[in-house]
Formats: sequence, C-alpha cells, structure tokens
Amino acid sequence: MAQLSDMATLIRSKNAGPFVLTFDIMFDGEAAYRKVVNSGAITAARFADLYGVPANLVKVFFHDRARAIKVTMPRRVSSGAPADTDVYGCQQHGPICNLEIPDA
Amino acid sequence: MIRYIAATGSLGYGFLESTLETAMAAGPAFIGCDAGSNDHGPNDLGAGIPHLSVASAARDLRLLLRASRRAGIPLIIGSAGGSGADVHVRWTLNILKDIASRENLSFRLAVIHAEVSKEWVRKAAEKGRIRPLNPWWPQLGNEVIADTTCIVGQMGAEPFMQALRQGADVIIAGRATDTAIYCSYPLLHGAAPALAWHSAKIVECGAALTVHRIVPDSVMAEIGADSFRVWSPNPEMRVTPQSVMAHTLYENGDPFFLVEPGGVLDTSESVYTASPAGGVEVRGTRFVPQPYTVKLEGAKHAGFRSIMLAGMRDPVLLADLEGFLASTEKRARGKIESVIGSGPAYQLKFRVYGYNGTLDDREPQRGPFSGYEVGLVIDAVAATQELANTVLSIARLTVLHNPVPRSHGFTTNVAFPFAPSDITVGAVYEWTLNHVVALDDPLEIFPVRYYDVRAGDLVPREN
Repeated sequence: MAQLSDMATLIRSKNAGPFVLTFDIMFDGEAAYRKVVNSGAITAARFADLYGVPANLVKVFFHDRARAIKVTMPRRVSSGAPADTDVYGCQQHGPICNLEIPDA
Repeated sequence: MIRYIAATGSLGYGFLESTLETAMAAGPAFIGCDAGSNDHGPNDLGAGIPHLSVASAARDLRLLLRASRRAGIPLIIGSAGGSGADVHVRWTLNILKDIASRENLSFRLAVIHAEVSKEWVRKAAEKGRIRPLNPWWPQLGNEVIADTTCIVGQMGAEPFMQALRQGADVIIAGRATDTAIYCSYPLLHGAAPALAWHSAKIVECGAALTVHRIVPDSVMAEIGADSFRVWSPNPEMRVTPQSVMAHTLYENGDPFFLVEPGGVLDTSESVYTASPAGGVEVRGTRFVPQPYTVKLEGAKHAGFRSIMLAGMRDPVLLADLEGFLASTEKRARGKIESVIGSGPAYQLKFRVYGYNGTLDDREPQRGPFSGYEVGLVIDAVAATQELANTVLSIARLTVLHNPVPRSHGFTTNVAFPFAPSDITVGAVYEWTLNHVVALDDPLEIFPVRYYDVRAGDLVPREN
C-alpha cells in the first residue's frame, strides 16, 4: 500500500474555465502508471465523494501515451464567487495526494 | 516553414531580454503574446480593471514593440488588459501610445473589439443561437443577461487574420481564445489547421511547457508540412516530450479533444518526440471542422466585501476550535440580526487557515484540531459596503471576546496583525455566462478598426 503522491511525479488541480475543476495526475514510468490505473483507486465515485459533486458529472480519463490520468468535474462554486475558497482551483488536489493505492 | 515567438504567458508577466534576443535571431515570422485570462476570477471583467500594473505591462510591451518594429514582423496581442472588454483594450492602447511616443515609433495598428452588448446577446438567445458550454448548466435566461455587468466573446483566429490581411504591424485585440493569437498568422500563410492550433495551445502559456519553469519566459514554435516543433530559446530551461504532453492537458477538461471556435483539435493520436534540432516535435494531430461557435464570458455584481485577518495561538481555544467557531458564529448571527434585522441577506464566513481554509467543508482531515496556531479570516459580503462593514464589525467583536467554557474571566481571543483590523475589499463579482454562441460570420461581434500610429497619435484609417 502506497500513497498516490509517492508514485506520481505531478499531481495538480486547476480551473478548466470558471465552472470546471480538473485534476492531472502524471507519471514518469509505465510501471507506476499501470499500477495506479490497475488498482482501481481512481474512480468517478471516489472523486465525487471527496469533493461533494454528483458522480455522473465526474469524468475520468486515462491517457496512456502521456502516462497521465485526468479527472474533471463541475466546481461546486464558480471561481471567485462570494463563497469560493480557491479562485484558481489550484490547491484542491491535496486529498488526492493522500489516496491509498492498494497493491493490485 | 513558419517560426514564431510566444513572448510570455501573459503580457506583463515578463521574459528575459536575452531570451527574446536569442528568439529574434532565429528569424520568427511574428511575435504573439496573450495578455489575459479568466483565472483571476470575475472581478476584472465585472469591475473593468486590469489584472496587473501599467508598469509591468509597459515593460513587456515596450520590448516586444521595439523588437517587432526593428525586424518588421507583426506583433499580435490578444485578451488585452486581462479580460479583453473595451475598457481593457483602451487601457492597453494608452500604454501603447505612450511607448510609441517615447520611442518615436510609427506603424499600422489594428484594434479588435470583443465586448458584446446585452441587447445583442438577448436577441441571439431568443433565436436559439446560445447554448450552455457544459450540459449541466442552465439555458441563458433574460434575467441572467439583465443582471450581468459586462459580456465579452472569445474571438477565434479570423478577426486576427483579417487584420493581418490588411497589413497590420501591431494588433491589439480584446478577449480572444489564447490559441487564436498564435495560430492566426500560420493559418493565413497556409499552415495545416491541426498544426497551427495544436502548436498554439502548447505555447500559449510561454515557458510553462518546460520541465522546470524557473521564470516566465518566451518560447518558440516552428510549423512544417506535417509536424511542428516547440523549443525554449533560454538554455536554462528545456522541453521534453513529457513536458509538452503535460502542457496539452493543462487547464483543459478533456485531455484528447480541445474545442476551438471552428472545430475540435483531436490530440488522441499525437506523437511527441525529442527533435534532433532541439525541443520537441509533434505530429499526428487532427483538426475536425465543426459549426462555428465562440465562448461568451460575463460577470455580475454580487455585493460588497469586508474582511479581517487574525491569528489564534491559545491552546485552550484551539483544543475545541470547532466548538469555539460554532458558538461564535451563532452569537454573531444573533447580534447581527438584532442590529440590521432579519431582512437583509449577507454572507458571514469563517475561513480558518490551518484547518479548513482551502477545502472548506470538503476538507477530509478536519475534525478535532491538532496544531499550535491557525489563521482566521472573517469574510462578510452584503448588498452594500456599509452593511458588509456592519456585519464584519459585529462578528469581529464577537470572536474577540466570545467565552470558552474552560476559561474563567474575560478573554481576548484573537491576535490582529494590523490596526485597523477591518479591511474594506469593495465590490465582489460572480461569473454568469458559461455559454457558447453560434456565429455565421466569425467577425460578427469582433469589429476590426485600423489606425496609423505616428509617434503618440492614433489616426483612424478606412482599412
């Protein structure tokens, strides 16, 4: 069992426009990428639960060529609205870094 | 073969003069520079303010203008002033005029506007030409349009191409898709759309595509017959196939398909390889033409804000931080209502850094607090500044002396770093439009105006 941040070379979140949040998880090696993909730890349901959005609006992409995983979801509050806490959406990935990746 | 420079991620973020020199020596056909973003939130568009200083923008614009005029190549600036509304375009033109006057420069200028009237948007919505960008977002109603302070469209490549066709030496454009700034010249000169758009997407943040972006800087692209190459003229920073692929993903909801005004860029079969000439070569990208649409952006006024910042270091308070905050908020709301009545709506938010400041109620690690200090921001938003100030001052007094069960006697609970403690932030805005509009003519809402710049004077031209 390892945490995602131990296996990925880059984990980031950012706005994809003012209403959408996107997470990039990138890997240097094929082995680490495959291990995370095959672990089944990265799912729409998992992200929906963490961020409080409906699972059917969470999209998970596996980009084999780039050895990258992308997860995209609606922002709960649009960027810079009165109740927002992260205008750039760039510090929302903290909980993802701590995701436990089970040995497949 | 078309070479070009992407000067920096946003005009005013800066680049090294030595990098620009190296890039200019490589024989670029034009210099492009994005000047805007919606990253900073809706205030810049709503309030009509630039997102950085005149001095920062002027420094970059002066160096780029000088270099482009000396080489006789076009300088293309898009999303002027940050949000690209008319007020932002004027702000940029004032800086340009000042530079032209000081440097005694004369050139042909094209100015492209991107602000759209609410009346035009209302009519377009009635005709069914506007739809939400994301399927979960509602259709655009008249009420939202009426509430919106300012609306801009994100222009595609065609208005830039029109200006270049008319011989513009310098283009100052309002809101544009970042990519249009860099792909318009290549498209006009016969580059394959897939290569023009994809290279533009990769360079639009300047040196952000490098492995370690040490400083904001210029990058270069070269479009050939069936591939393009990107590289960093600054030897301190390098690009790799992985860093270029990573940047294709950046700020996009979908890693394979990028929607542009006249089509979709399909990068699912793109191949990225290290080039013997330096940098990274990309091939295999496709561009699939689609009906022409552009994105609309709009912001509405959402009240006025006041905040205060304080530190909490008392272990007794921190031992039951959640209980303290809950009782403080309850008492504060009671007092606020006794002063302003139950009518006026307001936001009172305790943002506690070190606890839930960044993730709010989605912080998975919140629970019993462990740590020795937190930073407290009390955030009040209400319909008027006076009301926001009132809400904040009551909340501030409440947090200052709210008793905790374990303490006996009068306590003062938070450390203010500043006097006065309360900060008037001013107007708050909120994004309203998240829609695309279908255009029959890509220039329909993006009029191009031509001028002769003679030192500091702008003399209008017919074309």
